[in-house]
Amino acid sequence: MGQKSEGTFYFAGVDIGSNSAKSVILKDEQIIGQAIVPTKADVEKSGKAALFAALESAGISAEDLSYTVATGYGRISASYADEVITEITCHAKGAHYFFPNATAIIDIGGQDSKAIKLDHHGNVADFVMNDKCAAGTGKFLEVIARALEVSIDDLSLKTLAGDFACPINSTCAIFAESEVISLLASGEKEANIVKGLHYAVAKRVSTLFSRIGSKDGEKVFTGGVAKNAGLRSALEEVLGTTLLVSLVDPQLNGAVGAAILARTNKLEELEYEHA
Amino acid sequence: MNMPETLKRFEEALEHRPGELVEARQNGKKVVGVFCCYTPLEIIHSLGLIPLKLGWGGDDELAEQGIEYITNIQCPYVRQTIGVFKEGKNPYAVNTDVITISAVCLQEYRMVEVLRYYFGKETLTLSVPKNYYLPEGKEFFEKEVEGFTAELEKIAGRKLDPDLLRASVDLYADIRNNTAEIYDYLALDYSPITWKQVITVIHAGFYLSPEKHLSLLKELNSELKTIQMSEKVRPINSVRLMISGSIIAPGNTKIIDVLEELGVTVVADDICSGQRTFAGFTVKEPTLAGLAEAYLDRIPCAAQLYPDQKTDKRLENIFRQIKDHRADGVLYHTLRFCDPYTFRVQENKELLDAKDIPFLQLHTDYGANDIGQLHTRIQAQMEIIKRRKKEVHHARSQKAV
Repeated sequence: MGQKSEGTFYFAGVDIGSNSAKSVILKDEQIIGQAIVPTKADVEKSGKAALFAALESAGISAEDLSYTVATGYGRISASYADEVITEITCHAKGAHYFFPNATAIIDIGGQDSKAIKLDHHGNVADFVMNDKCAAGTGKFLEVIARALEVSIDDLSLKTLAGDFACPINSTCAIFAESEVISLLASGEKEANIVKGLHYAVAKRVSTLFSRIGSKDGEKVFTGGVAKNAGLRSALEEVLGTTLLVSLVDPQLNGAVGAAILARTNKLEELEYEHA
Repeated sequence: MNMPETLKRFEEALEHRPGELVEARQNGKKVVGVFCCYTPLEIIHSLGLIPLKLGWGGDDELAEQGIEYITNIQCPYVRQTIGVFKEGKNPYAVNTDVITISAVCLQEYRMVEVLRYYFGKETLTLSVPKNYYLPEGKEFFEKEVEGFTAELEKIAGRKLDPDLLRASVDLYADIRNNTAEIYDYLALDYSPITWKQVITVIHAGFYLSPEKHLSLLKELNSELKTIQMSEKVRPINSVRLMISGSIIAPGNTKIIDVLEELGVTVVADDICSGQRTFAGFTVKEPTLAGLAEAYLDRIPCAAQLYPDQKTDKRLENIFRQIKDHRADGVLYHTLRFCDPYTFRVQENKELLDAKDIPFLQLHTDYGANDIGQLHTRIQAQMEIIKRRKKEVHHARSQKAV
């Protein structure tokens, strides 16, 4: 088993999403390496690329790893992993790692959005995922950013300049795109349209959230879209609650959870062997 | 796992069935296609007519074809069944002379109208009252069954014979009992037959003559008694699920394929094309009134209303099966645009949550583009269940120490 020096264990989590592959390296319970790379057509390679970039940032090699867990939609082609676990379970563990009192998570990724209810140990009590369309996902924001010819980062900033949220009726990315174009044509201020779009996504995601029925406790916002401050405040307003976002890039949350589970499961295995 | 030998005999019988139907029709016999489960098959059979249970699923291309006659926001089962008639290749659709429907689901009812208007099919409707639990509803249905029988008598060219009806009632009761016996194996730790195989056996009865179906069911039952399952330690991480929700019509293997791939054992269902074809059903007297009573009193479709959650037989059936078949959780499958089952999701979820039974809804159609998402959802549910089982196991072994 890989181990750099006596008593030190390294664990890896790899989360291969539709948009990007993320990896995190743990030294015991501490994050010592991380990486985010774009997901390319070859999913296996993308996962490996993320893992090796994270290993490099941690200054260790693949042989030093004790255990690796792969998650995300690309988990099915991850020959480098010792175990495969769904992103639902991984996100729960990740959020619990950063916020031990978390009772629920909203995760918005490239093609999925999900609401997860947690028990006190960071286990999944219940979860709901979006339908198979792009409404209420990072993809929706990407399509709109393209229609407005702005970068995805600028999209978030633009909401701050809006005076009010222009109502957007379509949650379908395709219909919303044409709605945006006609709003622009009618002279509506771009910042107000963007603000309206963020509310449209927030409302869509809030219905997922209401279905898991989590009332009290800390709520955590994860996934690449959690970096969008405009959406975060729209969601907070729609849900009537504060959303916590980790200081470590929230896009890494699934990979962090995968690494935590790599550690837990490896230690359990060792315990079992000893018993 | 080895397949019970008798299943091959079912396959062989089905291979010969289309030819038998063609021959029977050449000899002047009429074939009656039946939609939905409130039509007493016994009456059709006793009049010398050949009953077939129709309706198909699992083929997205055929479902696309149905859009020409109804909209694309209708249930894929209804769309596909229209598509099957449009295509005109399915031997059972082709060899159907008269189509009957017990009108419960609006979409299925419209489907039969489409088959009448656009495909020139002779159709016959049996109205099913929404107030089926009241004496007025029962009385109404009894009269409906009488009128329905009178129409069937015209098609058959003969009158109902009480003795023949009695024989048909006994035959179908025998089929239900034998099917129940096979289904009960699913409750075991190691069943000699899988859920998918049980469903195949049930669906064979949609097409085979009831006499042939019964003899094969009996054969299968005697074979199953002889199969010895090897004694293995039951792994604590095996996941046993019950499937509930919308129809899973012949041809639709989408969900079960994913479940088998992930290693889930399906131990029960309450699907109208599965367990509800035979369960919760007794004919007290072999008459039209007796049949009307038994069919109306069966475990209802979600499209049927019920006055009281406490006495709802559909819910009672779900809970009983979870207990008897020791299901770890319920997988609630809803077909897109199948409203009756979809709008009960939250209620089912809350009732199961209250008993701490994991519940997962899968909302899908016949397309393949959400297979990845189905995998993730089912796998995540399995992770929840396995963890819980591990905790229970752990707590028990701690106690033992």
